[in-house]
Amino acid sequence: MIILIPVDQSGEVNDSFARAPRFLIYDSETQEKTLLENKASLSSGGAGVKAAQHVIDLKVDIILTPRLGENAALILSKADIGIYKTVNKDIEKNINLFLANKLSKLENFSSGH
Amino acid sequence: MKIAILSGKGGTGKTFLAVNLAASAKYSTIIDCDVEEPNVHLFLKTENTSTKNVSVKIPYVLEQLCDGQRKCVDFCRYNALAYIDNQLIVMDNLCHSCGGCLLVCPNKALKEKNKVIGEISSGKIKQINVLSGFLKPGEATGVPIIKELLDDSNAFEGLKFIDCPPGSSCSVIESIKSADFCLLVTEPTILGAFNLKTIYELTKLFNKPCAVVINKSEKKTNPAQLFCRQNKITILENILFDRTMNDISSIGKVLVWENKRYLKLFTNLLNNLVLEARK
Repeated sequence: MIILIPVDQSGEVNDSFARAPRFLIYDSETQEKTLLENKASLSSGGAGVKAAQHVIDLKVDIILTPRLGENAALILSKADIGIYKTVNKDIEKNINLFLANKLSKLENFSSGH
Repeated sequence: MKIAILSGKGGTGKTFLAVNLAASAKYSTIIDCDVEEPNVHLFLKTENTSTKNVSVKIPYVLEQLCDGQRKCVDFCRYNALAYIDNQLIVMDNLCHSCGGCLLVCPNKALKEKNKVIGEISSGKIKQINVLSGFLKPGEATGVPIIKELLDDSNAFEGLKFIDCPPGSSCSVIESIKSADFCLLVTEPTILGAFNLKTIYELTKLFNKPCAVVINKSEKKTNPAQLFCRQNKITILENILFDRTMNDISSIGKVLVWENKRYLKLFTNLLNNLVLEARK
């Protein structure tokens, strides 16, 4: 399973998805971690669409995030990606909680910023 | 002659000035270009009002012609297009109707359809023609409505007052593009002076002559006054803070129609404004 988490400058879970400076990609089979720049964060508008497109192109299966805007949610819904709500800013903890089936699905989407 | 009334900061008194100047003139037209939050119509309630829709073009895809090259997705600077699971998705709410995606598609798979983004109303009250624009909430930009408003205003002769949106964004730029003169409204505060600087620079960028009115002012020297002096900008009027002006305006009444003293103040200001604009 390929899991993606939005990451901030200090290496913690970012407050939002589309405007996170970086994305962390975790492969649960190989346990490999990759850090990618999020180009969508530089957009003047529609960052959610661009970030979602990018994530889908990366063939991600699961996203762990504290919140998600409605534009990103719309695009992601077309690709059958599971979206789960993080519980705190610790990346490792959230990955482990997800793998132990202890995270809930993200149901509410904000109007974005 | 088109006079644009603008301020960097919201709430300084653009509409207050635009409405009362228009009402002090023998014959005039007022154009409400603050299409996201128009309020001229709250003061000037017109008769024989006609309305019409304003539309823009939004792309849609002919699926049988699309083979997923994604040239349109890469091109769109507003990120209004995405390609997921062999399907092109158009985000209507993000599209700015530039028409570029149609041009870059090698298969000519994109066509255009109309989308209504708002409306324009036109009417008259006493000697004033009133044109107002209304943008539907959630739409990407009001610029197409502002363009159409200003085009429509060319049907009228004489003095035209453009009530601009606050700030210095694309909407403001569109509102002042065809103006002959800019009246900058500010407050006697540090924040007022700071925002005045922004719109003054905008008028310089577009080579528009301008003058300032300091609203809700006080007798002593203030930051806005200092800024004008430093930059040799004419201050047409220092409207002193007067609670009665606020009381009358806040219930949607036109000040100059309620009180002869205020009519005199605004007629004076109007004369000075026209003299300055004609220089």
